[in-house]
Amino acid sequence: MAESVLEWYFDKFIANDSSKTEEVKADPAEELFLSLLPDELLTLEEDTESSTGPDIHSQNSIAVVELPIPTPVLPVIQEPETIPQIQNVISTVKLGCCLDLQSIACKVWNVEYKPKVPVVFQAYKSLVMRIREPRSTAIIYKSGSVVCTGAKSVEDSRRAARRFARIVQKLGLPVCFLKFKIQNMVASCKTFPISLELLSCHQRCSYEPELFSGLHYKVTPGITATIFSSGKIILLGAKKEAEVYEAFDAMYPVLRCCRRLTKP
Amino acid sequence: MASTSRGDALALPRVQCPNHPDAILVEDYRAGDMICPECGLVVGDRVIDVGSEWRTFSNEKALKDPSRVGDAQNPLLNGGDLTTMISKGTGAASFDEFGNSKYQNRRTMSSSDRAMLNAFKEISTMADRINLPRNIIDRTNNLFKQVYEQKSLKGRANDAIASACLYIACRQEGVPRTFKEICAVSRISKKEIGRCFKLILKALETSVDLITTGDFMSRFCSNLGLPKQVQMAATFIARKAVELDLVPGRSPISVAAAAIYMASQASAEKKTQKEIGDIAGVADVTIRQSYRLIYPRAAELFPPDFKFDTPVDKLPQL
Repeated sequence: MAESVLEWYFDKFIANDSSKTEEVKADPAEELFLSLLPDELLTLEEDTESSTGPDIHSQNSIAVVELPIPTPVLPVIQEPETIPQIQNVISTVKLGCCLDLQSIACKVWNVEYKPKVPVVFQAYKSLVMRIREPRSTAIIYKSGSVVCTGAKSVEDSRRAARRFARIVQKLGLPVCFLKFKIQNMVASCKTFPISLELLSCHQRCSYEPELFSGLHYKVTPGITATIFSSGKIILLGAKKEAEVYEAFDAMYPVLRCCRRLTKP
Repeated sequence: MASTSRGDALALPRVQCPNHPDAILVEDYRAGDMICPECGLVVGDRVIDVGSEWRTFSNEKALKDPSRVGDAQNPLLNGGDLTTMISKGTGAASFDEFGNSKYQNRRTMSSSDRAMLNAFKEISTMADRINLPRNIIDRTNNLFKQVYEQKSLKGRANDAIASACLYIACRQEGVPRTFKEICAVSRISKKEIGRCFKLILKALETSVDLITTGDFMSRFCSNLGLPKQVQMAATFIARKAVELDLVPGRSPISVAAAAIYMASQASAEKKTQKEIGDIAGVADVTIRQSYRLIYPRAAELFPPDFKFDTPVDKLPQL
């Protein structure tokens, strides 16, 4: 009984409240998604994923991003691998209330909470929660801040963050979904074998073979690319997808100059 | 250094021969004169002799050194430390009734430079362990001073910064030492030295050249006791391997170690991978990996005038 009241409360005041959330509008698919219980959602998942996926994406892209996401401008000889693929999106959200981590740890499954022992992945005194469906991990702090990692796209990250908020909400705490912000996006792609020695003469490059076999190349002040001699590239630090593609386009001519010729 | 003749103290800041104003004057310190080399005119006289007041020889058992000046000043590095200290007393009057010296305050010499002096001492100790020449030590001291005054790496351990400065100085002088070699003489971990190294390069806005295989050959080979022909062969092999791009993405140290292994196995002085790994600071599996990459084209890699003790096809295949 209390749960349905909570859901009603959430949907009426929080999900659609433009003053509390940064989102301009919540589309109906999202509302439906949030008003259901998690187990029902799981059964519905296949349908919503396939049918409304592109819709959500395009709607959000119109609402949130001013320009449509540009496709990378690449020369004709590209294989699909050479377009950067987003591998990980890290975002933060504030839940707006203090949380009792101990009680959450007891009631929710798939949660790690070891307050006394500093574990490598998490900071001291934080809860680590994982969900299977967009496969992601959240680090939850007592103040209500949540760091959501592991999602493969911006939309997945948002959905995962909402799911985490939902889980906490179902325990009876008055959560809000405030200040959802993408902090970092990691993308990877594969190009041709590169001569790192040639590339390292460039300014903004840092290559120390003794310390690490990859070369760090600061493409723009925000974005760094780690380039390996096999041609695999990892782009870090972007806040939007467009930045990733722009950075790759900016970097590509430089890489072409430093291509390694294969032996006959 | 030269005293001008009295009348000209204000008008002419430097002495010159009236007939040959461009001639550089020769100083005759025994007579205290400045002589023009063109015409032989004695231009300035009563030059103050800045040589030492006393000559002290090391085997003279003088109880006290009559020299009234101290050590050579290090003005570039210490900021011109011209303080006066009260030294420990020698007579009976300088001790009070308990036997403690009356004037005890000798601590605050130069408090702002104390950390820097400690660091210089540490640098000198580290450099001494690997027998680095004076020019590298001076360069390291200069780098440390620049970093210290900038204060951008203030939170880091001074020893870590000193080790990183030593590494950079060796690189800048063209005789790079590997991180592991610097680690061996320092108490700081390789990771921390690497971090400080990158931070210092950013703080001082300098960059260093990339390391090559040839930089380490002479040191590794002589540590292993290999003759000159083997060293030259190893240098040639390593350079050729990098040119032919047989070892993409491998650290130059590993390639150098594999080249030394191949050259030594082909000569009379055979060294095992473990020995080479110990000297170079690479694991023997790493040498094995790099060796496997260069082995297929071993025949092309050797210099043309190399005398084989073991022919190329009999080289060990790992």
